[in-house]
Amino acid sequence: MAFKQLYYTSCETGLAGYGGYQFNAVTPGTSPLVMREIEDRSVYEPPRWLLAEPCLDEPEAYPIALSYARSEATGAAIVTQVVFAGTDYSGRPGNYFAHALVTESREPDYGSVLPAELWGAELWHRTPIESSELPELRGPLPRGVVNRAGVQAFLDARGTERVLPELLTAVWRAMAGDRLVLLASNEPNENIWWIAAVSYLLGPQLAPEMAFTTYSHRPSYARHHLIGIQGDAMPPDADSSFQLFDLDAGKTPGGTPHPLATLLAETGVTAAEELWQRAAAFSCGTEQGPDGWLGPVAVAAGQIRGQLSADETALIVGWLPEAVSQLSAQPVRDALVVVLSQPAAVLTDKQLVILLDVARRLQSPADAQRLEQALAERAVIRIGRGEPAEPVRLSPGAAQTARAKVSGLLRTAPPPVVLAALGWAGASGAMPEAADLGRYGQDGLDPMTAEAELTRLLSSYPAIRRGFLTRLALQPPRQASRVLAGPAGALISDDDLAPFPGLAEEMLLVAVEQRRQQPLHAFHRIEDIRRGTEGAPPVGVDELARLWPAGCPPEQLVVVLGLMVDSPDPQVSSWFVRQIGAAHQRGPSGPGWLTLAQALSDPAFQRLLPGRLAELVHGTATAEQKRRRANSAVDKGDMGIFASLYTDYKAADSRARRKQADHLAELLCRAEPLAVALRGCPPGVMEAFRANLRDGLGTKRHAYLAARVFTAFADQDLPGELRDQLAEDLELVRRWRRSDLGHVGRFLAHDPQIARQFQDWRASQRSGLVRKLLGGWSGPDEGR
Amino acid sequence: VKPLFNGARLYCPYCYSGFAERDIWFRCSGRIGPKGQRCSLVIDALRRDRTGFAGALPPVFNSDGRQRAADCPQCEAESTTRICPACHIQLPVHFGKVRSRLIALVGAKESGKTVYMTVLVHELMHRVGEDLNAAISGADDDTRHRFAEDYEQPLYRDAQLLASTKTAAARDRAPLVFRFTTESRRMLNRNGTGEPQRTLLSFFDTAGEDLRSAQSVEENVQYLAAADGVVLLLDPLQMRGARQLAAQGTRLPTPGAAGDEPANVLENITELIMAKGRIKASQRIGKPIAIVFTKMDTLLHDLKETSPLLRPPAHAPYFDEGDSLQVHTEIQRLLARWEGSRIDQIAQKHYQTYRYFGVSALGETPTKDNHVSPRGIRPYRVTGPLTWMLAQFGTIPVQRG
Repeated sequence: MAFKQLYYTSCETGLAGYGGYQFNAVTPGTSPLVMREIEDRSVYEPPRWLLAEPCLDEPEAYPIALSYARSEATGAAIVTQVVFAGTDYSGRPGNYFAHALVTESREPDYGSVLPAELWGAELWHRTPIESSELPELRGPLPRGVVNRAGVQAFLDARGTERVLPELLTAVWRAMAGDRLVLLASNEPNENIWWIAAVSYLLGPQLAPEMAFTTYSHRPSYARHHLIGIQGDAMPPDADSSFQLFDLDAGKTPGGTPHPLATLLAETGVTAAEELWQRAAAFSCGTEQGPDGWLGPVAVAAGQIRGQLSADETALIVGWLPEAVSQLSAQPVRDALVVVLSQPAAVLTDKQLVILLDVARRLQSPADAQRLEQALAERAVIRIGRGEPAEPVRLSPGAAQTARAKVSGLLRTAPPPVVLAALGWAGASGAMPEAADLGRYGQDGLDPMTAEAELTRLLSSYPAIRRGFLTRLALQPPRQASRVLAGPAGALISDDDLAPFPGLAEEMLLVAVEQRRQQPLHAFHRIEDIRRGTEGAPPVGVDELARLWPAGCPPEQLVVVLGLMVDSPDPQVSSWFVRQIGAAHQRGPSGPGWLTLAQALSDPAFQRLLPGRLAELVHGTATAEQKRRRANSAVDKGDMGIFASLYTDYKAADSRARRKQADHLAELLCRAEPLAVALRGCPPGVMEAFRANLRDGLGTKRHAYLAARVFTAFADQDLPGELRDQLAEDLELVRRWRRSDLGHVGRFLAHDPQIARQFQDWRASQRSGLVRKLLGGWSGPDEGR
Repeated sequence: VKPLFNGARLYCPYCYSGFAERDIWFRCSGRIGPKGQRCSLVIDALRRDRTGFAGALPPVFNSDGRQRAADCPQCEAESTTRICPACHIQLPVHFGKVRSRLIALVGAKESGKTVYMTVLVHELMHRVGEDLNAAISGADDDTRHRFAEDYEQPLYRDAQLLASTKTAAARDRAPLVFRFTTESRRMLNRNGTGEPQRTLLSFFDTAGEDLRSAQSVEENVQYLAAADGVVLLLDPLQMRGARQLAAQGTRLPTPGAAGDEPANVLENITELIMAKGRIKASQRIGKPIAIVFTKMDTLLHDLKETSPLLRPPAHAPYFDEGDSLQVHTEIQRLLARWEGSRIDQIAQKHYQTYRYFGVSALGETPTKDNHVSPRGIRPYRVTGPLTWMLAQFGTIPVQRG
């Protein structure tokens, strides 16, 4: 392939076959579409001041328009030089001459030559020729007067630190479809140096895509990304319609330069060549525009310069994740080396994480471990300062280092930091050994630590919990009690406390105090604990006092009474004496006291009781024995017991009589035959008995009681006065319903005589009409 | 452009595309809208591809073009900037509301089209407008700027001949559009003066090269089909008979190829108009054509003393039909002398309305170094073709007899 050449001007002979603007000569085979584009884009008019005052004898006064663009129709690369040509063949003014070079194979034909380097090249023609055919031109083309050194000198002379990055950025924007870039200067032929600078900095990868022209008389109609103009040709709306760089006025569009633009501008046009050569090694082949090339160029800059700024390093880090999936391992590894050779301080944690991922994907364990260690070290420092830190999955080697650092932190850090450190360590696989945690729990974790933190530490880390209990076991019980009574205590299980009997007892006592545990149950547990602990004394008075701070009820006192005998501690004995005395005072007639008194009737206890209390216990026990015997006799039908009971009653004082009367009345209600039991019944007892009868016959309607009372009533041996009293009480029965009376009758049926008497008794007080009205009548056979 | 179903057919004065008024689009004003947003400027790809203009502009949007204004759908700012739906160039104020007359200015290479147009507009602006009680001004900023900077200033201030017109392939030129305002003769207001009657005049300055071959004509001068009238400029010095009669010292044009021969130019244009206008072989073209012979200053010495061409035209507020007809007849006569009778045959055969004019834009042959004569520009009968055309449209009154 080679360049096709085209001459276009107003001439007498050419491809059109007549005079006027036309292609004077063309390399055969040139696309008509490309020809039309060249005709369109090469229109030339001199600056306005040269129209008014032509300098026909000073051709150098007329700006040269060197343009480069891709054909919209074919994609061919077109470079054109247009020069002012004065008058045409007919003598008319304003003629121009365009010499265009077109190639469909840009890369081989251009080689390393950039279009801007063709400025001033000897290959350009300025006059029409007789023939209408031009030969092809073989590449690479000879360069003109523009070279890197010259461009760098031009830039150095102007101080372009601010302008150049902005200009590069603006050009990229234009290449991406944004507003085109106007480069205005009073000396249009200087524009080529700026354009060359941009071309050099864009490098062989991006420069071929930049369309430019060094001069345009009507920039609004130029379609190049970078358009050079003379200052007086500036459109009135240049500021808004274009990205204007008025270089003489020092005016630029402003805005933030693209990072690649800054990087390239700092590199300079001379070093840019090597930069792009190196960057090519990091190309995925899919880079589009400056964003795509940012990473490769930054890596290349790192290789050349060694040290990079934080921003530049960040560019590489941002590029690496995509690169590692698209490039072979070696260039990515080289890029990683560039980053890792930077001072660690320039890398953020997030960047280290990205790099770690890259290192892992590269299967580079050494780099990965180094990054893991760096991340872990930062995390521990950060946590130590009370700042959050992201966990990172650590390999075994890095985890070991991190574990040591976290363990070190445990020795000095306050609980919140420890919590954060352990959280990070757990998520990162660097949890300290259980021994270290236990040590922290024992030596580092203060029982006075705030509840929230203490709770979290104890609940999340069993080793810390164990260590902490060890510490707690050595603390005064009250201090342990305070902790165990708090939320932390709820986290401690029986298993945790197994090695610490003292704490286990304390925990039980606390539970009783908090009403979470029954005192009796706690007492047994404590007894069990002591029993399982060699040489442990029996439960002491302090424990008893805490178990029953308001006094021990007699029913429970009965259960724990053995301790009174077993404990050698006289204070324990005294405690029991106090509890027994209190039990008697609370209710000497209650079942609890009776049970207690019976239990205490054992001589072993009697010895330990003071005299008065011993008498009370003895009396109660004896009375209770009698009562039980009486009950037993009545239940067995031994009515002879009543005689001795009546005797005791009569011998007792008035206070005891009331109680005995009640007991006897109760026994009489169960006694059978009642008539025998009632013989010799004192009036007081009879009164109490009748009160029970009124209740049993009047309210409760006990049919069996009624049957027994009626039987006694029918007993001719019953003293008359008692019989009358029973008759009176039986009147209550007479009001019963017929069915209830039927029940009574059935109880009496075993004795036909009594049964008949009962029927008679029923019938004795009721007329036939009344019986009918009350529903009791059932016919002449009733009661049979 | 969408097919036209309703409404009068309008033609863009810049690209000559036809469309209905409702199809007119809008361009955002670029101002801050009620939401506090401002539309970004973007390169209008359609306008760039159609006209070559590549500057960034506010975005375009579709709305009912019959309305005077519309709200931008993005920023909600009201815009009164109406644009052609085909080329996206801003349409003149009142477009669609007033008559728009497209006048095609064509001619062979070196016939003096650009100079003629420049002098014609200058004359209308400064002298003849006053005679006709009319005013003419650029209808848009671009026309005003370009006419002043690219045409009027070089010719009148710098006394420089204008450079050759670039071919239509170079798309950096839009037509020059002027607003020609006269007073209505029918509707008088309270002051007794007529209501303003506006006509848009669009001049597309073609390069002679664009009329040489059927292909270039077809590609580049499509506007001929849309034109309401055609002003065809012919250089009599390209005719063998006239060339011999040119005054001594006349700067003769380069002898052209056959395509530059005036009769052939008329033939080319006639064929194009007939093809574009779908005119049958048995029909004649209805749109008026003014066949204008330029550079007449070089031939005046050969005319009879009684020739109407030697008589200065009247400065009157009307079109002098009598004078025009006399000039027409005189040119017809001269055509035979100039060996150009075929021109008259073509005109008679194909056009319902045509008229000959003889003009000189500069009044004198320019110097060899492409300057106007040191005596200055002295136009000769340059406004005749336009006033005749405007009279045909009914825009200015006609004085007959």
